[in-house]
Amino acid sequence: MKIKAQIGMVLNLDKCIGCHTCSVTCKNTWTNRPGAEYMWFNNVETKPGVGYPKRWEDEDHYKGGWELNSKGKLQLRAGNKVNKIALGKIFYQPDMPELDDYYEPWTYDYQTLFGPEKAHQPVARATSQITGLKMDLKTGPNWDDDLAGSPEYFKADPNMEKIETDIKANFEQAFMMYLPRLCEHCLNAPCVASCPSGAMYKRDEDGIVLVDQERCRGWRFCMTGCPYKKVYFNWKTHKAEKCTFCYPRIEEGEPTVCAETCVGRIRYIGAMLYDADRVEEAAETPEEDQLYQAQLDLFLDPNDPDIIEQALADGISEEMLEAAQNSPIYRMAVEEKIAFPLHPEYRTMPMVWYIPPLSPVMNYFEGRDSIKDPEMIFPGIDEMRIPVDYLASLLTGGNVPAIKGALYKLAMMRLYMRAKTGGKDFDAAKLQRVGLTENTATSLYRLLAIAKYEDRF
Amino acid sequence: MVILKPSAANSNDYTSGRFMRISDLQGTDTVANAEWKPVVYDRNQAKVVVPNGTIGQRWEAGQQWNLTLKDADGQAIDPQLNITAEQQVTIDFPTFDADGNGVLKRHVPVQTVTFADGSQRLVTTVYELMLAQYGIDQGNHDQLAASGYDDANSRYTPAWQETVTGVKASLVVQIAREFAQNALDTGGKTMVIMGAGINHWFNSDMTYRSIINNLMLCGCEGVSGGGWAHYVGQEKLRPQEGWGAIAFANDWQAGGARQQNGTSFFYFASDQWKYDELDNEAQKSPVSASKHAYEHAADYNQLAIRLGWLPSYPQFDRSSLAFAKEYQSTDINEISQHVVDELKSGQLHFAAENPDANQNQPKGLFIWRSNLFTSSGKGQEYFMKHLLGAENGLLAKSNSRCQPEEMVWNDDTVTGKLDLVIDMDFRMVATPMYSDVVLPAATWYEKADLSSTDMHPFIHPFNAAINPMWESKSDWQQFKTLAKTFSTMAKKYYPEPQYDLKTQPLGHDSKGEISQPLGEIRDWKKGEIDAIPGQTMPALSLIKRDYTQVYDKYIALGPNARGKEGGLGFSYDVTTEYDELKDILGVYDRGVNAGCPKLDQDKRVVDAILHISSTSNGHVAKKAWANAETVTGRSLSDISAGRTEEQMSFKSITVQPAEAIPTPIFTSAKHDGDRYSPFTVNIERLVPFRTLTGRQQFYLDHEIFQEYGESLANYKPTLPPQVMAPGDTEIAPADNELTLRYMTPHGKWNIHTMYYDNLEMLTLFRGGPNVWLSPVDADKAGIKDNDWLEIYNRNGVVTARAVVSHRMPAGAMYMYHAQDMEIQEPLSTITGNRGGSHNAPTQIHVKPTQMVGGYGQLSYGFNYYGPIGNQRDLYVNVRKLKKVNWNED
Repeated sequence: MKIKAQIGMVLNLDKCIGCHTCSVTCKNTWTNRPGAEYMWFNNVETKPGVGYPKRWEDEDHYKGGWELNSKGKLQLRAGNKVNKIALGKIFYQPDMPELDDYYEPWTYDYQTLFGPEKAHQPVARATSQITGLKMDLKTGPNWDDDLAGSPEYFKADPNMEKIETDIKANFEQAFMMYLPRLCEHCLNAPCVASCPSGAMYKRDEDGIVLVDQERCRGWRFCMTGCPYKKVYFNWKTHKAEKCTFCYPRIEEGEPTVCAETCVGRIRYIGAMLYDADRVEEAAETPEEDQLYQAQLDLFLDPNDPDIIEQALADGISEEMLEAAQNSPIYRMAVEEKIAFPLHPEYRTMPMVWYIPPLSPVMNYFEGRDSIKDPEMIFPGIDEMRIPVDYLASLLTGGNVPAIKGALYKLAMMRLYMRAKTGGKDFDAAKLQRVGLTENTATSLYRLLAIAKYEDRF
Repeated sequence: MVILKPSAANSNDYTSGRFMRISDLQGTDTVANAEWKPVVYDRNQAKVVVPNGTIGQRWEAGQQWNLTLKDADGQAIDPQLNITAEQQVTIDFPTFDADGNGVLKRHVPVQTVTFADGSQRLVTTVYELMLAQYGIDQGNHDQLAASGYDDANSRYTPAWQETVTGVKASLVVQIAREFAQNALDTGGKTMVIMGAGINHWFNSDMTYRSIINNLMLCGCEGVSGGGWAHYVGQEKLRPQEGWGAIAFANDWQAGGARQQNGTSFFYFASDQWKYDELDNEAQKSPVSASKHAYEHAADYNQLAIRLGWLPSYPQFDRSSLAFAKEYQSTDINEISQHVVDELKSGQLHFAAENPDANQNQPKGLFIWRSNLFTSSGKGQEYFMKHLLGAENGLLAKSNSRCQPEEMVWNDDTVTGKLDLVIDMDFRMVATPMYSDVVLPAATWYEKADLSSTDMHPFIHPFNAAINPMWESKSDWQQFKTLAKTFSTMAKKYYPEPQYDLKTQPLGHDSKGEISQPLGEIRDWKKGEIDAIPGQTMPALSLIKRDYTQVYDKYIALGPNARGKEGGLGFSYDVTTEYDELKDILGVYDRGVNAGCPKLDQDKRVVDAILHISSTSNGHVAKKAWANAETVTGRSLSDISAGRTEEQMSFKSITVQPAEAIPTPIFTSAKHDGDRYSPFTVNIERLVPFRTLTGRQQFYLDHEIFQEYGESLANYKPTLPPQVMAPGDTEIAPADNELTLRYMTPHGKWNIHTMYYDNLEMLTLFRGGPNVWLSPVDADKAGIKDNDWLEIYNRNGVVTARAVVSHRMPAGAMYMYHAQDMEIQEPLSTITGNRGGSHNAPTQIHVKPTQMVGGYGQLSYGFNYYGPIGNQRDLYVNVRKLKKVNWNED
């Protein structure tokens, strides 16, 4: 066993309102400069939808992440770097997203508005930030926001092809959710494994994945290797760039900019201890729907005296150990199992996790009869507008029971708190059935609903 | 209790009239304010009594005005909801449908009462009226009542509403039960949060009242965690007294500022009244006739102006500075008599009667931080044409078929009324583009300022992160610079003090709200009553203005602020606080402002506001509650007692923003960390509501409400579909053209005017103007996502790209707010001009019921009352834009 520490994040999708404040503050902090115009280290997508870059989840096309070879061993889907170099494929990257898959960044010719008198009122037209020429806008980094253009983009969501539930794109049954995305700072990062220059690296002390700008040679293997398409190419410096998890802030004990500025208080940051020796074995779990559990099994109990002793011996600082003991991530991911990794089937062991959204079903099971009969939540969740198999496709590699378990728990917590607030009795056995007690339900409510700053970070 | 009157529709039937008052039963000389005291039937004494708390007691000297259920003799009363029926009569209720108005017959139990004048009148209660209207059978197999929730033939049942809305009756019943059950389980903690959307419909007040009725019936109003909550459009400033004193210069001259409701002002100034095509008759009740009825909405506004209901500036067709000179008097009584005589003889007119006359046009417009001409101004192209005289896309022609009776009609078109437009902004959007002078404003990050609303518990400061860029200045410094130049110029142009005659409507929370009794209109112009300023017409005051002193007064807190201040009818002394401010801020030592605290710097202004406001100074709050105790006779001081020692200052709230202190000028009784909860002071502490009855009202009895069939909350459909009106510019038809409902809701990023059109926000959607429509409609017109569209109606044209989404219902189109025309807006093929903003296809329709004044809660207050600028009952034609022509020449 080799214990390592990793900083991770949980996003509570039940509370994301899709305001994009995270994207804007991130952009203003990190990518508001030449060569980085098209980069959004953090972006928010409407789901179902194609996202940014378009259809990034289509790994048959982009060849990102890992797969198992015939011997059941991990290999990069795009081919390993030795082979690429040997075959002379290092000079082109056919699987990368192209500019139109991202979007051509534009600006406006604002100076026109100050010009001399003309026949008609002047307008500031979009001009390309790349060519400087006038542009006809056809795509952008959030083009399908709030189901915009759904006849084209709704069914083009790669997750829709994987699920059995038939989702109708009509007004009466319209549904959507938001998915804020950033670099996953994976335990088994394919970008790091892809880099021929050794420029991509995972920090020893906290697992943040960074690009050494001195060493990067612009081969762009990392861009293909990352199945989340969260490594970008700066076309001015010709080097790779990516989300830094705001490491200068993390080092000062502050949350990332995206988490700090989140209006809905949906983001939580915390430390995790894991067994680095077993990462490869876990990532080689054959069944895709078991990868989530395999990753869970890597995490170590930071309160276990043996683990503490070994962690200190392995060079984990006391500060990091304390952070792991107070980690809201550990609480939500490991103890309560309400948060899940994004596309674990990519075998990357990602470390930005998500609590699945529940809200659209509440009308159904918080109805008149539900107070009398909390059992109603079970069939209710099976009939959510955001189908559980869609969520499972996003978050558990198709493991539907895991998603349902989390949703039952979240729903029961609400019912319990509702009864408690209203001064009504609530049968504790019902809490037990979903793995809660009165105490854990109350503290989970505080963590999720009240979401105090001190509890989130 | 309500008096019944004969129905105008059926000779044997009745309809509901006005509230019964004690004046109906006793002479007005025996009871003070008798006409302002509605009555209830008391079961204890088995007689009709006046409960405490009505507006009559409010303005009666020496009364303890509160909601304890006692009569004038201090006897406890038990008001009866039902009436002890002597007989049943058939009552006619007005009904409104898309295909016409009708009459709904129901039975209602009544009693006969002998009035003081000897007449015998039928009366009933509001409760009985509501049961009757909804068709609730009271157990006697009433043939005119509904047979049950599933009786689709009986109006207002869940089954009936399904025929109107398409929402399943079973669903409505289920939600209603849950709504009520939750209120029952929680003691009233069922809440409805209403957004801005409802406000944007012509008959939105009917929707509002229906929702609030539900909350009242379930006992939710005034319950912490329950009741009506608003999110948009009704914000009030927290440190109100200090802000009001300084913002409107009341510290130097109380009541010197002219404040008008914007909708009426722009309806007349931008000439939208001349194009109004709305059939008001369709909005009127067939069961209640009024001899003060008009066809044109503008006539009601004229009525409102001359009877003192609504303000209107410019006020007369003569300079307000001319009267004292002309009459050679500075005695307001003498001047008033002249004004009344001249008005009655027709020598003097209200300016609004002839908005096109040269002397009545607005000539200078100062816009402080609003994108008026596009984002905020409803009816953009009317603004462009008539106020600015600019390129515009107005396709409507003025509607001479429907001319107001009370206005001067001018067939000539007046364009470009404004001579000078000055705008203060930090963005180059449409309004600055159309301004003569643009004053660069500091942003939030470049200045010291205050931020607060009644919807958020804290009072926050703004602190400058950087100095203002280039020549920009904070608002306070901008106006200070202007004041200085203005005063210097005044030494040449107005070296002597001027006497300014000012009209003022009958104000809410002043005695003006009991000016016009019984809700019956008495029009002095028709000789029905004397023209008495401040009672049957606007109040008149003469204000001495020394324009050379404006700057010196601007930079100091004037001596009027030393003494009484208040709000919501409460009044308290802040002499001590004023004197403390002298030490805190320093004083001037010579000139007109000698001895006055300094307001030359932004932070000093913030400190002055915080120090003399009851929400931010615990000592002032304590005095305010003490006054409220005196007025109401209720024990209230405990509400802010724990916070008496708190005194917010700019520095203290910079260190830590502070929660506003509870004060009687807001209606929350919450303290000790409880959240602000409106009306809890009324419900928990029995402080009366500011209404005629002192209570929440289901029934409004003013003559105009009866005329429009809105005494009880009622169903009124949206305005009829219309794209072009007869006589408007004819538009050549296009293939596949669609007619859709056009709505301009708030987008998730762009509430009103601001900040959507920066590069990042535009990049995070589609980079320019866009409209949302359903795939069903898009298919019909051959429209694909991101196609360029041209959208028009008689009001104007906008070009935008299509966003096709199944999130949209068929038949409706959204163009989210604040998509301005300076970004990516091509020419229209219809007008050949630049397409407009989201407001180009909009226009204002004004609703007469919202103009009533001088009558209890229906009285004018700044930022409080007046017709809404609704713009949702509109339709557009939609077609593909054949050629995208940017024409940048």
